[in-house]
Amino acid sequence: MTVLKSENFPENARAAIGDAKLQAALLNIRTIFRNNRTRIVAATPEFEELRHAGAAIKREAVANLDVYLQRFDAAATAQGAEVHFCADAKSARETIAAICLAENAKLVTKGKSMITEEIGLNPYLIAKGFTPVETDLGEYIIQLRDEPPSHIIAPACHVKKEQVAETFRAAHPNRPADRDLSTHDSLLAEARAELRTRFLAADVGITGANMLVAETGHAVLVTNEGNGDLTQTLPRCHIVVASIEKIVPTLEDAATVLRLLGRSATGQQSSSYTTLSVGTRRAGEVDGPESCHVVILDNHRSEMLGGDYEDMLRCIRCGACINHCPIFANVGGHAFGAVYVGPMGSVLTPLLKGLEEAHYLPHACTMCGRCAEVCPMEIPLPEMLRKLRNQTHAQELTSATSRRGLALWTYLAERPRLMRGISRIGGVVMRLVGRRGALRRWPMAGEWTRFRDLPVPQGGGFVDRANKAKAKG
Amino acid sequence: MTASERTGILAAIARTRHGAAADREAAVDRRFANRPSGPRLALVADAMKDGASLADVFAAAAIRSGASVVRAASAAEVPETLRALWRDTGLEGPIVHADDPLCAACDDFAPSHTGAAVGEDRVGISRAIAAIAETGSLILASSAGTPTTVNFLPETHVVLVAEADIRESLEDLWPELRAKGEWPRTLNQITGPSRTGDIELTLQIGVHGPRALLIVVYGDGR
Ligand code: SF4
Repeated sequence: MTVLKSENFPENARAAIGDAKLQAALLNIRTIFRNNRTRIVAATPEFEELRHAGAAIKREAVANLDVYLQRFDAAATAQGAEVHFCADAKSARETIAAICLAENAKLVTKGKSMITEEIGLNPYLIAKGFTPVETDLGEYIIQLRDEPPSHIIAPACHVKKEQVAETFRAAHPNRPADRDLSTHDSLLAEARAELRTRFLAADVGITGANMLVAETGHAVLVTNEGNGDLTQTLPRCHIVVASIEKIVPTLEDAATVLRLLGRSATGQQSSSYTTLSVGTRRAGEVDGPESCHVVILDNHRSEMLGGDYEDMLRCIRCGACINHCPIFANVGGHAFGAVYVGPMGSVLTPLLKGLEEAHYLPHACTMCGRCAEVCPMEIPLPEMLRKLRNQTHAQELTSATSRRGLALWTYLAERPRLMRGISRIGGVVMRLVGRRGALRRWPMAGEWTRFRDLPVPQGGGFVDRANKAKAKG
Repeated sequence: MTASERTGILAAIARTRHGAAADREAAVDRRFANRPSGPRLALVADAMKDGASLADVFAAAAIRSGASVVRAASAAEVPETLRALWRDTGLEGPIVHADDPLCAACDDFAPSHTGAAVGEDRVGISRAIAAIAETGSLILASSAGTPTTVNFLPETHVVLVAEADIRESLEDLWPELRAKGEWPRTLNQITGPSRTGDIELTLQIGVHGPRALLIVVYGDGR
């Protein structure tokens, strides 16, 4: 597989824009996801009120995060779970592999979990001799294609159904070669049949969690397929992997967040399956896990507390910001070269992986503000992206030319008279150079004008015009 | 993880938080004692203003989510309703059902068993402990007689729910469940059949869980 890297964002984006198959797939995001959300928000007069309440819940959770985590730990442990706090990806991987080893596991089924993508769990488990199988349909498809997810809730949204058919033919050689895989239904039926055998044979099931309820110790898992439930019920061992900010204080709080999550993610009042599980199977029960572990991951999140990016810890991973992002709509997820994509990813990736590697991402934004408008947790995404941009500039991660350009601009902006004089001259020069009202190239803005024409000023800047208007009275 | 990792993470968080540790513990205690509810949606109350019962609102929402709903006047009528549903829908066994006489009504139609579901089972029959009118959801709890696999492995899931157990929203249910003093391993909130949009964002029904969800809502016979 060729995994794209964040540090190559400009090249990745250029390739994505030229990729006809990807462009066709992205059309769905722009229509289906956005329309579904718009429809249900319009039918929910309380939506704004819910947003305030949801954001307030997560603010409270974050304000007392250490206390809530300890309460969760105590409640879950009392009901038979083993809770593991892991400082970083390496510790989480090792903890999970050690559990699989202790369970003498071979086959490990997985529900969709972005955290396990973040920590690179699958390659690690494979290297340790286990066989992880993704069971969410989208994750299964991309696992077979050996690709990373391109969207946090629709991981295979970049794949067309003809490509899914090709992938299934290659991956399921024991099925008749002449079978029909031309329809959505035939693909679904084949995936169902294939994964059924894995569910039943698995030794360990790994799922993520949408929330951890501090009051009761519950892990809350929201899915539409039911794969998360088969993953956590059939094997003898269930491992929940969640990051520290998944905490909500009470079940009442979980109910509010659920109203926001379904509506923001897929435009549903409620997803098909919302499962609250805690601990091991109870005395007399005939199914459910005999051992249950909750792996709680920090991985740089505690460093976000108390600083400019604390608000990001309210994120419930609904994907609404991604679905409404004009950059994502044009380049898709892989171009970001990261597990988290779109606006939430462009904030998170630099914080999780470092700005050096991800310095382009905060710039992959038009500042249109749509993401903050739709975010159910009222996260000021553009503001954080702007702060990250400043940081890339301060750390000299942007190109020297553009830094000099900006420095010059700043110098002039602080000296209005000089600026006015120069821009008057500039306007005249541009009119001389630019043909048909547009400039094709502009010094020190090469990247910018390569894909855009800079409109030529049509005479007189704002200040000039305002002065003229004043003079006229 | 090591014990020091837990301590380290909690300490790193605590360093950035405002207020004395004791005050923050007290704030959390208060939150757990008061458990404030967020905004409730007016949609159930609005529908009931027009004369619909809570059961009507639940049924309408469940149907919107893709489930089928049939009604029975009382628990005594459930077996006949179930048998008619079996015939009308053309269901085929084997059956796995909860250890509950009401769920055994179709036992002479096909091989059947109780206990955990197995891969061959085609129909699962369970009883919900509650239902939620706001979303048209069923609430099922795991127990010795009601294994969770019955809800997910078979292609068709048939669920019985008493009108008396329907609540407006989740917030009405939580206090009742807390009062029981212990939690089941698994609580399933089920809203419609299994679905996915993972291939080209096209909605498809019946991926890993049941392809069909059939609900029998029964009254108290009055
Ligand atoms: S940042 Fe907001 S909109 Fe984006 S995924 Fe997180 S919660 Fe959803």
